[in-house]
Formats: sequence, C-alpha cells, structure tokens
Amino acid sequence: MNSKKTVLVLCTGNSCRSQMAEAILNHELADQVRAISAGTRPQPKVADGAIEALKLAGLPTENLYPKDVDAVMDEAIDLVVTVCDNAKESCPIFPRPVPRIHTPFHDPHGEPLASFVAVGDQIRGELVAAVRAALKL
Amino acid sequence: MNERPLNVLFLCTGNSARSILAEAILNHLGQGRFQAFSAGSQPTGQVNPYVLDLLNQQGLPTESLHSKHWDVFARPEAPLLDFVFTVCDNAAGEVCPVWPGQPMTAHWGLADPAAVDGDDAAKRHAISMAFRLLHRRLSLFVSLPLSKLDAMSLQTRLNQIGQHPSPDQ
Repeated sequence: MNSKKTVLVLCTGNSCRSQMAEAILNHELADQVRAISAGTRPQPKVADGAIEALKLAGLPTENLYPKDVDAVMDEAIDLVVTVCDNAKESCPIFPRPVPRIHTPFHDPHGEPLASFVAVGDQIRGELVAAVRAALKL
Repeated sequence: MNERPLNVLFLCTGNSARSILAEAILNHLGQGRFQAFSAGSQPTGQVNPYVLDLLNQQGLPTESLHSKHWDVFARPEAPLLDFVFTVCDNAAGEVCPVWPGQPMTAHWGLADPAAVDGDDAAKRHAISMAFRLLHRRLSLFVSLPLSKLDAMSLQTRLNQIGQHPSPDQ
C-alpha cells in the first residue's frame, strides 16, 4: 500500500515557484510525500531559470510541466500549499475541504538565475519544514 | 426553468461591505431564482455598520448577513456554486483569490467603500455609491437570458457587467 501523502503546490503561473517546490519536496521528502503542482493561469512552459536552478541542485526536471488547477481537482490531496505572494498576485483557492498552508515566496519570473537559486534555497529551507509540520511527518 | 436556485458566491477581502451588499441585493433581485452568498479571504468578522444601515433603509433583510472566510464554501456540505464573482479592487492593489473548478467566474471589482476616509456622511455616501453600482450590475445579471447563452457568450456578458462603470464616472 502506498502511504505517501499527496501535496498540491499552487501558484498562479505554475512556471517557477510551484514547479521548484514540487521538485524539491519530491526529493527532500521522497519516502513520505508525492508532490504535484498547478496554477490558475498556467504558463506555456516551466521557466528556464527554474529548470537550471533545479539542475544545479542535482534534481530531476523531466516531469515538470505547467498545468491548470482544474487538472488536479479530482486527485486525492492531503495538503494544499499556496506559494504565491498574495499581497501582489491572485492566489488560487482550492475549493475542497483539504488542509492548507500558505508559504509565500518571491516570484523570480524574468530574473537572473541567481534569483531562482535563492528562491530554491528558501523553498528548501522553509517549505520542506512547513510541509513536514503540517503533515506531522 | 431551473429546478433549484442558482448559487452565486461573492468574494472580496474583508466580507464586510462590498460582497455583503452584493449578497443582499442579489437575494432581493433574484426573487428566488438566485441564492446569493458571500465570503472573504481575510474576513473582518463584522459586517460594516453603514452597510447594515443602508440595507435596513432599503428594506432588505440583514439578519443572515455575516462576515466569514471562503473556506466555509469549500466544505462538503457547502452549496454547489454556479457563479463566483470577485468584487475586490485590483486597481488599489487588493488581490482577489481565484476560484478554480466548474463555476462561471468573473471579476466585478470596485473600490472598497469601507476604506473611505472622512466623516459619517462621507462614509454613508461611499456605501451608497457602492450599493448603486452593485445594484446596476446585478440588475443586468438577473436579466441575462441564462438558458439561451452558451458558456462563452455568458462569460463575455459576465465580464462586460464587471466593466460597468461606477456611478461617479
């Protein structure tokens, strides 16, 4: 039986932060968590900076692609994480009774690789701990 | 004719003024065809007293109005939503949450009348202007030929209603 918890990471474009979060959670919490991500206005592709930053960290990027929240609405989800900065952008609501946490990160979209690397470090530092705590892992 | 009323949720930030006004107005104008609800992303927990005054003056019921978080409508027992309208003011840097899934959605932003500075009269005036704007938009909404519009035309009409200018303009 698969006892992994499914974590849905949500932001707007599903191109930078939520993709990096998906890859980082799947790596850091590999035995306990299956992370997926989605956005309310999915971009055509994952940002190059996000892919590069993940590769620099030695993480796989093959399965990452932007998708709409509607595509994951029917999945069994144990925790929803919103990573958008709701002071600046429209955060998605996940209209199902699922525990959720909000851990906003700066959107590195359009910025140099160093910004993506910095956001990646923050995600690794803050989000992994927050997900662990929320799921009592 | 629909077998049940169409459920409409109005979302703003505080669920204290705009979305409350919209809920009260639509429940009145909808005459049983629509059931309106409202919620906020950061509910203040209290309906704006000027809003209650105005609604009372207009003879609209206020007993069931209260400020609450949107997660009330994410619960299994929550009504199935047909429409979700956001009424926060993106222009003022207020950010509306996005409600994914099946309901028809549109952004019907307007300035927060509860944020107006000034004396009692200025505050009452701001609420009254917001009431008029929402009343116009909702009058347009309830007169849409819903059964005759396909999803794309309906979305266009809903977006147009949200562009309806404020009475000041």
